[in-house]
Amino acid sequence: MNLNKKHAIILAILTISIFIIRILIAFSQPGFTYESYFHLRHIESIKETGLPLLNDPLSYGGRELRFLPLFHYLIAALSLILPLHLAAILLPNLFLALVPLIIYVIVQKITTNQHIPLICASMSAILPFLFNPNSVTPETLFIPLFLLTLYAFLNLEQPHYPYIYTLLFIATTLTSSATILLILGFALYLLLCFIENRLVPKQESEIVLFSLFFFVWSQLLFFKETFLTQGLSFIWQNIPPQIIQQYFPTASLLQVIASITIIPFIAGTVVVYKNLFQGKNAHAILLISFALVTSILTFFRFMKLSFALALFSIILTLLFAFFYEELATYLHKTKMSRKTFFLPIITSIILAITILPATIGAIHNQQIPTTSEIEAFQWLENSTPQPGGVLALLEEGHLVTYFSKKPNVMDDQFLLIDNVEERFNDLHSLYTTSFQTQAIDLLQKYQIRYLVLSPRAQEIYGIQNFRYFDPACFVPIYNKEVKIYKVTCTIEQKTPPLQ
Amino acid sequence: MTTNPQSKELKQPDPKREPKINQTKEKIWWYTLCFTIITFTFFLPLLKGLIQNLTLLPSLESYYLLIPHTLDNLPLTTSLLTLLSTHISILALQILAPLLGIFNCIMLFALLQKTNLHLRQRVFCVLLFTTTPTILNLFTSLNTINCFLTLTLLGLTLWFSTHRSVQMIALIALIFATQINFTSALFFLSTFLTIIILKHKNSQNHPQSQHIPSQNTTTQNNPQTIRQILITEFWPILIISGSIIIATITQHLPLRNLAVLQPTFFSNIVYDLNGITGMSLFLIIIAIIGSIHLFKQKQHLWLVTTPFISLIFILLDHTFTIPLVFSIALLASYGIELLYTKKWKIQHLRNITLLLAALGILFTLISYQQHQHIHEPQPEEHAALKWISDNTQKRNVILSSPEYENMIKTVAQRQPYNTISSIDKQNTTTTILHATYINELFPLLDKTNASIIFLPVSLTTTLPQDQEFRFLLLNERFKLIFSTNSTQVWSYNPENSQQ
Repeated sequence: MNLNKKHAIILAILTISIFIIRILIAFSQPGFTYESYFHLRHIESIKETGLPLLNDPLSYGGRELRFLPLFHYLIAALSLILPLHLAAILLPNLFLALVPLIIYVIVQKITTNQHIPLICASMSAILPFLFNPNSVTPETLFIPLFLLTLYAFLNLEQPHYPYIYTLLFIATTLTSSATILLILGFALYLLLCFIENRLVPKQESEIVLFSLFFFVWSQLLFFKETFLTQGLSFIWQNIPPQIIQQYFPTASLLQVIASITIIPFIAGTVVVYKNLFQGKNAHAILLISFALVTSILTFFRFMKLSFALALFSIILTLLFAFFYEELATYLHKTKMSRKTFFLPIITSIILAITILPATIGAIHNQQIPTTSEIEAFQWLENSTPQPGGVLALLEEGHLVTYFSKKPNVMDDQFLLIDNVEERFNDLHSLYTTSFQTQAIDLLQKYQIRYLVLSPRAQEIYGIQNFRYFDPACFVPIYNKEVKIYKVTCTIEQKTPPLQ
Repeated sequence: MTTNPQSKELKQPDPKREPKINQTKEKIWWYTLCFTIITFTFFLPLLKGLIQNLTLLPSLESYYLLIPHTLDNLPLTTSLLTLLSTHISILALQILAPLLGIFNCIMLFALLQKTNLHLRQRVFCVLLFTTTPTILNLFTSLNTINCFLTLTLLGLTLWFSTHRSVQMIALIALIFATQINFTSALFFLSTFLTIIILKHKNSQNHPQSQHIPSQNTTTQNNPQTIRQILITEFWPILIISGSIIIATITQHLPLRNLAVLQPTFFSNIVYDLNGITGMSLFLIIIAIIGSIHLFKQKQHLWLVTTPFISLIFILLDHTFTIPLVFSIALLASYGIELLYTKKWKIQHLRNITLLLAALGILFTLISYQQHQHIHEPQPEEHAALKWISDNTQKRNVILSSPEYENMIKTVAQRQPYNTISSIDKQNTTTTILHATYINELFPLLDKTNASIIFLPVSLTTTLPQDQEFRFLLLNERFKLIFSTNSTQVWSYNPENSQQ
């Protein structure tokens, strides 16, 4: 890896600037994204006991959890020095701020043009799907690890890189099950090389074989119970069919192009066409394999669309390097050869114009609870010493467990939950039913003592208040933007009469 | 050192003897390892049962041979097995099964010696085959399929003898092997046909390597007519086919295994993915590696197609997965041999990969041992059925899950309503168990003529307690007459249903 001094300075400034911008945006928001609170709870548990909450007494009223913990341990380690809130903002944003640096070294490896590594690095710094500064999720660690592993794979012929690859791959596997993308990408790469009669270096096939075995073994080890009880439906994470469209939406081609912006898409398409049908660039084939695998997994709903688009954007950024190199080479042969020094500037401007609006949109579209919601859930912990479950929206489930320290009815961690469909239907009924008896019966079933009606819930269900509301059975205990009620009625069971 | 040339010769080691000693040592080592592992894995369930002082058979299927059948209605081999099973103790049945398993391994070794597989490959093949949950489950107690396997392997092993009398004994064993069900008979016929064709081709290509008596040598130089080939080579196929046809017509040879409820297609294929039995995921991965190796070497390409052909038999009988398991184990032996012998560029990765493969298969084995009790009959269920036998009238019909048909007939000595072979009755029982109102439940129950309802552990833990059938059991027409742990026996009084 040879770093030009001028480029090193520019890269350092870029990385630090992006990191600072991300931190500033993160601090300007009242909290983290809804799903982040799940991870924060486990980080807290690791900090206190050294272990995550594998038997969580609050989620779903008590359940078992299985997940890959490397990300959580890293944040917990930093939170020993800094406050947890600060560590949770700093580390994930640092991980994603390093992405331009990694993109730079990868592009430097795969191309010979001196400008394109910096252009691609700058492009990756502002990709919309990577710009979620308030997200504390393992994906923030997975993406840089994925890129580093890819870089190590590209350098396998050099000494020590096989060991570096091994360590990085192990770290990636312990971060997210999305490492399957690496395995399938490598497998497709080997298949394409076999079809094109291209000789694959021996160490590449050996590394891929080792990666496959390690990945399968580690997943079986961590998710043994999940595989044994749910089998392959583990891939769809036991998401209730009613909301599966929300997690795996079908996006049209136009929507995908709009999400990842037009120029990377066109550049990627051109590069794929040239290298699959005409060219012989092994590095391009490797990246194309990843692009194809990501597309296939998304099409068959094996991967969430938002995550797939993030990975797709990164791969297209790398493929853009080949496109730019070919364009620069072509222009050198034409009458415009004297003016090619304008090309990097023009390219950067065009990319900034097309990508930045989408990035700004992505920042505003982060799903973050409002200050009033957070205050309401915090109030619930401090002012209600009596135990009892809390009814809240599915996405608010983690706020219930994190802030209120009370059991929730449901949250977005569906694995190893029995009757998840029935539970979702019951949750939906509790917001829509008009019948008090039905509502109280369900509240008793899930041992719910408190009902939370947030502005978000009011908007989703089109209600100002619960339709079965009756002051005799539901005592208002908190009444600001968010309303909280205490359940005071119960139903006694009777034997069904003979007919 | 003496100058006597004779003494010089005596002191030099015999160059031909040392490799033979090494080969013998290697053989002993591999055989000892293999049989130690096999003996341990086959006898472990029996040891566990003896330590826990269990006196029941370890699978519901095993009770099929203890039912007082009318022998006229059974195929020949099943009748003989039933006669044997009813005259020996349950403990003897359990000891006989693992002994049969070891006997099968010895015969499989003998058969594989006739191929050109290396010793290590033979050991891998047998080890990988016998340590799959499918085979381990098969040899926990005497049943029709493990007898089929024993007779088939015995017959095929004896068939390769040069003595005509031994071949006749082999033929008798093979005829008995085909008298169990149609699917296994069809499988055996196609396998035997393949072996004879391969043997015939081999004798055509290498006439000097034949062991067949000299009557065939006169025909070596003259092309044989079809009639001659049929008479000299394929006559056993004709005899066996004839016996199958006779059995199908006279004894109504069943299409599939009647002792066990047909699971879904994939339930018995991959154990790690929510399978009841099946193979390890690692075994399949190693088999794919073996297939790719054979494909690249263009060797034994027909072997690569055997797993796909085996799927046809699984389509006919979802429990008949032995052909698939064996073909995968055979391909996996090529894969393991490749991993073991090939020199890797990154040598330490090879060792880790082999270790991961072994750990992966061991993982499946341990998971199987830990979870198998879920599918085994529980002592409390046996106790409940014994109570029914001692305390209820012989004419009572019992309503329960279809997989308990054999146990109800054997232990409770009563007639079950729900049977393995009747889809209609299974559907009716499912409707009953999910009925929500008594005006829906009582007419269905009256139709079944069931007066006893047996709820084993599998039903009491899955049916919701305060809804549907279990809630309706609170009605006065039901009476809990026996309960132990999670097993319940209810009586149903239909006499008042007209009110």
